[in-house]
Amino acid sequence: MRTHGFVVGLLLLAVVGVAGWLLGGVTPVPGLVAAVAVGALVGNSVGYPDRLGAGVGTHKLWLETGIVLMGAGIALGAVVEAGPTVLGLVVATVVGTLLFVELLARGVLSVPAKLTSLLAAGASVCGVSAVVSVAGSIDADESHVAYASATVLAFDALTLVAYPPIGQFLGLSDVGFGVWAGTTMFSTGPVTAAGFAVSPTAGRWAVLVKLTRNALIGVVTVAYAMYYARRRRTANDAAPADASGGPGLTGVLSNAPRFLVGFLLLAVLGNTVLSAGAVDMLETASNWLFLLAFAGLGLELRLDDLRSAGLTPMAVLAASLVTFSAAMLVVVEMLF
Amino acid sequence: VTDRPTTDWWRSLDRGWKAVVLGLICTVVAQFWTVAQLPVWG
Repeated sequence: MRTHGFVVGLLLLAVVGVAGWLLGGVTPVPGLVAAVAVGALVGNSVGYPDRLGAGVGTHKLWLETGIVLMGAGIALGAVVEAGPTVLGLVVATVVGTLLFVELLARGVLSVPAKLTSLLAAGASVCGVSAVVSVAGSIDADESHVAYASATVLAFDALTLVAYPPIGQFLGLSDVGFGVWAGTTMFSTGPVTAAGFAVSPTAGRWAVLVKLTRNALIGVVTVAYAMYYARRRRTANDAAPADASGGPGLTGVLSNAPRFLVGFLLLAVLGNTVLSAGAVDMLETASNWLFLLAFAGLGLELRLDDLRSAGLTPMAVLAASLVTFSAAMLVVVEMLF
Repeated sequence: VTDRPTTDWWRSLDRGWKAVVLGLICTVVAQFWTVAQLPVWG
């Protein structure tokens, strides 16, 4: 009976994911965003029986497996070719966004620390993937993960629609638009879609810059794991430290998500021994796994939780996006 | 229901390691598929 519920839960993920993908094909909404929307609609209207929960809950495994497979498509050579200018812009944007969101949300607006960190990671590195990666390393609350993911996805939808016309209105070059979208939009899918909506050249540059940004996910995840491990050890009023928080580098590594090992391994394999056809296949598989993952994310998303979180985190990301988007526009106009 | 040893081994893995194992299986299959020039849909 348990196995039956598990399999039906998996089927529910697949049905919602495919529905999102089909919806993405006939509307401007990207398939991944549509999968979350369909999932949230089903989960918050008709719902699903508890016995399907284990199957639906596998969406986290599919997301991590999707990220591992995405590693094969990371173009290490292209990252090197992009040169120090793009690398400098990427690092400056990631660090700047992290600090901006942390200072504004936690320092000024008193947003909970871990929710702030999830929002900062999502906005600065690679959207929901970064949110989930950092969430695993800092043991974040499930409702915070759902809220940060939903907030990031909302901005993904907004920027996907807004960026191409703004870029064309401002007369940005193809390379300039690619760099602008790649450094400031949140998630890889919408960056790719927005880039190729302008031109193939803009699309290639957008993806290249975005992948460079994505490569920083490991650094940001480990940095946050280190920060929160230290916070746990020094907190006087907290519960006794759990077994996962060992000392120094050991503690950091024990908190770091294991799937990053696979991501880095696939990045090396994808750039050395794997054939181009195999890399294409793995990227396709990664996209399908993301569809399952985002369907599950939507199914488990509770709109009541979002309402109780308030609009402040949304306003923080809006301020961050407007600030860095405008700043990067000026830089791109000067350099490209 | 008594678990088989293979199921125990799989269940004992952390979710992240499961993702790594699945990723590596997919990689081996994809590489074999293209080297053997098996048909690709889509």
